[in-house]
Amino acid sequence: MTEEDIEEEVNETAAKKAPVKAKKAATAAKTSAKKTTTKAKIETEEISEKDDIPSTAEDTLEDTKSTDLDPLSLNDYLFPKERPWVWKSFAVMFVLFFGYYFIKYKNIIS
Amino acid sequence: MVENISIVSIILDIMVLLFILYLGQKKDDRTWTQKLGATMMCWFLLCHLAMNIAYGQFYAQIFLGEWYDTVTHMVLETLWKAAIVGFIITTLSTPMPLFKNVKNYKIGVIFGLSFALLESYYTWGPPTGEDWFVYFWPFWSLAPAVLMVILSYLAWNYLTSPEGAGDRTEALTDRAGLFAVMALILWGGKNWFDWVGFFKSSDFFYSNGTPDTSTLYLVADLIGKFEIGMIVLPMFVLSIGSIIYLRNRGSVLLGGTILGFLILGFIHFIFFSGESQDYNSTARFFNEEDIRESFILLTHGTMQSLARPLIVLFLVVRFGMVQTEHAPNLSRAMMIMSLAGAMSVITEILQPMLGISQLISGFFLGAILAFEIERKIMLAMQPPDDEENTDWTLINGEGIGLVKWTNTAFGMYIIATIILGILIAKEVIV
Repeated sequence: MTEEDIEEEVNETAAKKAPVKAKKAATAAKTSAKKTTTKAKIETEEISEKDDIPSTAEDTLEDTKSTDLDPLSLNDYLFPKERPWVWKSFAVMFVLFFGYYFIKYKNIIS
Repeated sequence: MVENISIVSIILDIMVLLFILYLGQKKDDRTWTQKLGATMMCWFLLCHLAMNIAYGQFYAQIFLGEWYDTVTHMVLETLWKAAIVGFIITTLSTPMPLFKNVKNYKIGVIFGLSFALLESYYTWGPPTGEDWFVYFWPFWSLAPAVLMVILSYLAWNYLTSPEGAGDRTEALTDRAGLFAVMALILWGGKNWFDWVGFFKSSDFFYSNGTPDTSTLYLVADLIGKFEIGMIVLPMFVLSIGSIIYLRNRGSVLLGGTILGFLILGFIHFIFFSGESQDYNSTARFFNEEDIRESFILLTHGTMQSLARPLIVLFLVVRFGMVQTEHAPNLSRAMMIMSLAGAMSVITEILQPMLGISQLISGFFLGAILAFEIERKIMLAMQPPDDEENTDWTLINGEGIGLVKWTNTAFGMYIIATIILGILIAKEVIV
């Protein structure tokens, strides 16, 4: 293989690799941008949490400020939708406690 | 040596009462619900003070016999009823925005106070001479029992909540829950030390009358038992709740305090037979030669006499019912005096148990001053800046007017009971 052939082959390989490099560069740029965004987001959260306001609650806080402070409905207040087991578990404890108490009491008065 | 320690409790009651009354007069941005809560706490302190005076230091001067004893008993019971109704009102308004219509509220309060007045007539008046009369102990115990049910549920809701306040509902629920936990400790805490062995003791199943002979006996007995049960049940509810709370939020202060009741209760039950002391002697007279009595006094006694006014102080500051910025020096002085007084009593009680001298309370006072512990406690008690104070537009009335109306109603109720008592005692009503 002559020097010209070798040079030609190198150029061809370089030409073939160019789009791959460009693609890689684009991916790296994207990743870098994504990292920057994530970092910025983390920093924002850190700043918010430093002020004792969790960033996730910021939107809620704005909502809270904008409410007209009407009394809550009793259902929302006492029976949280995301924890329906709260009143059920309380009712179970109540029934078990007073059920046992009543059985013992009934035995004594009879 | 036997000492009467109720004087410390009397001074604490007076101090906290004057503190609330003074700061309560200041003009600031408190909502009407907070002002209402502050006045209701004053009724509680007045009641606690009256009980301390009557059954403690000045027992001999208060109970002189003859007709005015009836009046004294009726007034003391009346103050308890006012304190209970006041706490129910505070529970349903200060931390929890519940009612809207003033008319309904007034009907509820009038019904509650009228019921309480009728109960006084029944318990002390002419019905006592009838054959069918059944003594309810006390008839109005149904009211605190219902209050305990409400508070227990709110506390359970709060303690089992997995995350902090995420939205408005959650924030207000948490606020109400904290209030409920403290209120439960205030009302039931002293008995939790004695009643851990609840199901093992026959005292709680004993029937006061003969339920088979009269339905009224059975009703009276069931109400009495329900009240006893509703003092014990919150202890179990809070204990389970505090374990969940510790797991979810990791706050040792609140969770550990609640579990402390259970642990001390078990110690009392296992080592000191778990028996309650007579109401008049517990928290009133201190026998430093008896370790068992000292232990009961340290638990039941201090909860009854010292902790109650201090919990009220926490509630009024934490829930913004009064604002300490109006009088920072006074707040500081009051906090130092409260802590020093309480520490002095506790070290006095610990003296026979641990063999240490009560004189070391001076070192505690020194530590409070040196490390400015009172400032840190006062700061920790302050409500968070971003916390919502419940406030809403009322139908058929306005907030400040409602506060005045409620206090006037309480005052009239007490005056009516005194008049009723005099008429009964003088046998005008027969």
